[in-house]
Amino acid sequence: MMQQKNNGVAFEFDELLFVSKPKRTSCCMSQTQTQGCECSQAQEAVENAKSEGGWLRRKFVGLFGALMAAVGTLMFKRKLAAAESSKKASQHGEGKNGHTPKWGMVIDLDKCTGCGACVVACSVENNMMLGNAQLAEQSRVIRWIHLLPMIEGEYPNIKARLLPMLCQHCDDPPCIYVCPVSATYKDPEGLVAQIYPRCIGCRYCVNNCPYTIKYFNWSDPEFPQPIPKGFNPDVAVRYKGIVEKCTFCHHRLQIAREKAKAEGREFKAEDYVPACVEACPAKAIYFGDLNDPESEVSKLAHSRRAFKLLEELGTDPKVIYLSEG
Amino acid sequence: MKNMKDLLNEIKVNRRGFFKWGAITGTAATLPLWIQKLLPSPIGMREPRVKPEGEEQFLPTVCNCCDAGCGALVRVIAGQAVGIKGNPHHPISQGALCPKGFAITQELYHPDRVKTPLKRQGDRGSGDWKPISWEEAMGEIASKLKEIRSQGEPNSLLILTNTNRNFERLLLQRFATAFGTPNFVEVGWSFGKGMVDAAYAMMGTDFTFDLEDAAFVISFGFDWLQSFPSPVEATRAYAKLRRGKPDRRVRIVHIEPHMSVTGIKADEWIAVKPYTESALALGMAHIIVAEGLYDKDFLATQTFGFEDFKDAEGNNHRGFKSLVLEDYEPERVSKFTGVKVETIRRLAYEFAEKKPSIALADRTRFYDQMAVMALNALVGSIGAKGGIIPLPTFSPFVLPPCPQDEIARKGLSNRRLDKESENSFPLANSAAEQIPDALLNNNVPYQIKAVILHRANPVFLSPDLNRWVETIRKIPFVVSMTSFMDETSMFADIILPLHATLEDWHAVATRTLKGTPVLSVSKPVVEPLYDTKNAGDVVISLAKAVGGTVAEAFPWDSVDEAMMESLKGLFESGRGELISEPPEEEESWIEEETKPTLDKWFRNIAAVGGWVDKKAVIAPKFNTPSGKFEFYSQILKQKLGNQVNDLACLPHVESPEFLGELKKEVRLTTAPPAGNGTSEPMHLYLFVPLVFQNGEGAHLPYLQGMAGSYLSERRWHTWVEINPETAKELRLVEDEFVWVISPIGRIRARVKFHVGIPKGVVAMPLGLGHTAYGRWAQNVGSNPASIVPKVLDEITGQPLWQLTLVRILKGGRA
Repeated sequence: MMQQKNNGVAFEFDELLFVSKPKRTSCCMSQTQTQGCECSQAQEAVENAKSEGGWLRRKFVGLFGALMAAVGTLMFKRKLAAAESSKKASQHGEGKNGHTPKWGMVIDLDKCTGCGACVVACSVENNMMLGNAQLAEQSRVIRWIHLLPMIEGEYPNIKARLLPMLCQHCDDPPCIYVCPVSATYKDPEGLVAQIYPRCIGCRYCVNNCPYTIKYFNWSDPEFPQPIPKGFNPDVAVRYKGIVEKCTFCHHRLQIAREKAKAEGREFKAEDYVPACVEACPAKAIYFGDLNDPESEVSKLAHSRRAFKLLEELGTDPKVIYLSEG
Repeated sequence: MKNMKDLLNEIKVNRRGFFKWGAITGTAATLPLWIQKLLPSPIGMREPRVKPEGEEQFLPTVCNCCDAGCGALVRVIAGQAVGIKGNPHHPISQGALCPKGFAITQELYHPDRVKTPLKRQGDRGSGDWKPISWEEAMGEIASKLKEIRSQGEPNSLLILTNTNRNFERLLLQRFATAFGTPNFVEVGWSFGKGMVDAAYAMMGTDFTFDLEDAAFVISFGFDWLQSFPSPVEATRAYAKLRRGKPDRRVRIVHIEPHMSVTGIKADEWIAVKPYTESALALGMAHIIVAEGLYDKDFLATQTFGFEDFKDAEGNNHRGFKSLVLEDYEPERVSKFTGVKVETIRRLAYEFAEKKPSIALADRTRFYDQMAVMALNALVGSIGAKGGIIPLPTFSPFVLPPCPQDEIARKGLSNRRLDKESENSFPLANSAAEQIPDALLNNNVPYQIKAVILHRANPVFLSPDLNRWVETIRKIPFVVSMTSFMDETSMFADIILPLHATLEDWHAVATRTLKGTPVLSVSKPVVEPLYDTKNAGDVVISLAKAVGGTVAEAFPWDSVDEAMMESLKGLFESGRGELISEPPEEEESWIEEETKPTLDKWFRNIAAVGGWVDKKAVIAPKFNTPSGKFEFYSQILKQKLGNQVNDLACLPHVESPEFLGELKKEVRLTTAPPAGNGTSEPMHLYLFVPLVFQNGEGAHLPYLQGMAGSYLSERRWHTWVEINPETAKELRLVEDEFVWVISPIGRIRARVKFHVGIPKGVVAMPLGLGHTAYGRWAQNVGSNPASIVPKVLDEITGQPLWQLTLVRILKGGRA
């Protein structure tokens, strides 16, 4: 079994719940990126060292060197652990055919009625911001899954479609390459993850997402009491300055794995069901392991009706739509 | 050497950058969590969340959002409701819920719930309240009610309730009977209720749509994917129609003046002028009759009034056949509806040839409902698999006979205030919209001295709603039972706070679309957050406080006791089963050879969330004077009086425009109010998005943000859908605010271009524009009900919403 905990790479919702962002990181980081950091502690130190002579400078260099050594060791250890865990995962296998699963979703637009049950179920499951008229005016209401209208043509000959739109969990996600702090990355099972405490709010990933389904928190969410009593304890609340998006309800995967382990049985792909999939009255959303050729999602993904959004970009989405008709 | 020096230079040059990168990657990427926890937050202080610790349970509840009675499982940890999903064992919801159902946890923890009983301090509507105790509140109400009874005028109590058919309502109705008032009145929208009135007139009974087995579905102005008895069932049936069988994909046609969600999902959307849908249905009927496509066996054996007939007294009467043949030639229908003759012909053939096909209509004008129901009968889709199944309402709750004293009997002998005579609104149980007019015009035999509102909000739901404000102000004593401070409650004297769904007992009896009887019962899943009560419990204690026979009518201590007793008959019948295995009980390891008791049976139902009778015989049965399906409604004829002409008993188009051309006598008709102003008046078409069904939902932010998903992401405001070409002519830009002006008022709305709406029609959603109802609903959007004049259907007493003509005026910002 893959050890998700404490290897630092997988995002740990349970532990992140109470965590706040490290101070100053965001300021330094964004400035560095634009080649003009004036407030950087490091730069200040260097300037000081220049004026006060070599003593301070050597002292600083020495201290920094030590710090870097420590940091390096830590990172190396983490990397090693991560590599090992992914190796373990690939060796022992999570899927039923002894392979690492690749989680994917199939949405059958022929069954979907655009009712929006998935939207509300997702919001409840993931402690979504509530929104208000002002935020809506600014298009700043965050919903990880929403209905995207596509209405073309002229009256009365109209082609219309309602598309449940969520993070496409690309197999080659454009968002991860631009993240300066590795806050967003693709995990070994194909989930595109967002680690909130790491995120510095630079919004590069938001801009680089061709599907525009990454959302930036422009302000702290307002949760008047007693709304927090209804929070899902498995999911962190996102604050100002953080980018968020659909996680395929990753916490449910962790819980399903733990449950399987506690019950002393093998984890099955069917144990992992995201909230929107569970909610759909039409059973139009399928979820499972795309690496398992026998799984329903694999079969549907190869059906004649299957298509992916903006496929030409080469992002290889793991959300596959089935067209009507 | 030189190379080495270059390298060193490079390091020097890059050192600053090196430091920076090091510092940043070091801190950002590798800070262990325990250090991060110690660091102060960059964005002010944040209270760490109190994570509920404890065992996780999934407890069954029944969703209270509409009549459907869907079962849900609530995830409860340490007494907090932290999640929700559909109950997989429940026959109606089958593991899913509609968006409204998922929001019931948000309802529970809404910050603006009414938390204690309140007494008005300032003027009516000022919102100045004083919290009082339940004893004080009930004492005051009871003394007022006793006073009314002691004066011998129990009929001067008005009880207004909502349209939900649940157990609560039954107790309230019993209270009205025991107290002695005939004024038990239902307030609510007719949107999304289906053609219930036509079913009663033509089949004498309730019905279900066996949708999933239909071979062709055509809906006339019924946005059925966004409403239906249960939206969950509608959605599931839709999925089965599309992908249920590998070799079958059922075609769905939708006819509505604007392209609603059903229009988007249908294979074909046909735009017609508002309120001309039934003409199209009768035009199709004409072709089916004229070309002999109808089901001859069914019409011969199971229907009445298809052919012309002679009654017992020897008078000749017109039948449906001659009616459609004479009056509804496709050419005339085409001219009236704007739909091409070829299209009408094609639809008629498709409808008649694909069997079983089903035609759906909403609870709009009565004769429109009848027209669509008749269409189903023509092709033999009534009572057939995949058609419309006439079935009696499943009502297992049986309360013992209600004792009445002399005062109550005298009170009940008075006429209802909403009906002037027996003949007015013959098919309506109550006609709430008549009450304001009756009271304000003093057109009443007696005055109303007190009103009890039960989750009823006429000040938001009714056309021309200022009438209700005046009415409520006029009534000396107003009590409102509600969970939220809604518009009507703002004018109350005493507010009695009710439980939220998850704190409450529920019992509702329904049928699945296939007709299987389902009883959904659930007990509270969380402790009440505030000093609130169940409406049934309030009624029981009120009755006890009033005393006498009213108290005798309610011998129970609590609502669940009453529920259990009312289900005694069902228990004794031995029918049905629990929807899932009951949780194991700790007691009795000694095998007891006892019969199951009512108490244990009821507790088990509440513990699993429901009961179902899978073996129930689904036998379609007509309950009409002829025992058949009646094209010519004899039920209606009896109620209207025998002197009524044939047209009033047959499906027909009511529009004077249409009938005038035919030179026919117009007996029952409603003239549309004219628009005012200079510019071209446009037809206002109103609809209700799923999340605002029953006029609720806007108070919950997760639902508020859902409405209008098919148009754009800038929501949270009332919008007006306009054809882009019309908008161009009016020089309107997308998202700008305009005034929508009707003969009785004007409201602001945001312009949304929609190609799915014909020129000359504008569409607006109902459900927004609350002036109270919590922070997320108040002052968001505007309420089109306030600009719609009150016009009632003369048969059903339901408001006719689609008759208004409006003008659009630029500059709604100002």
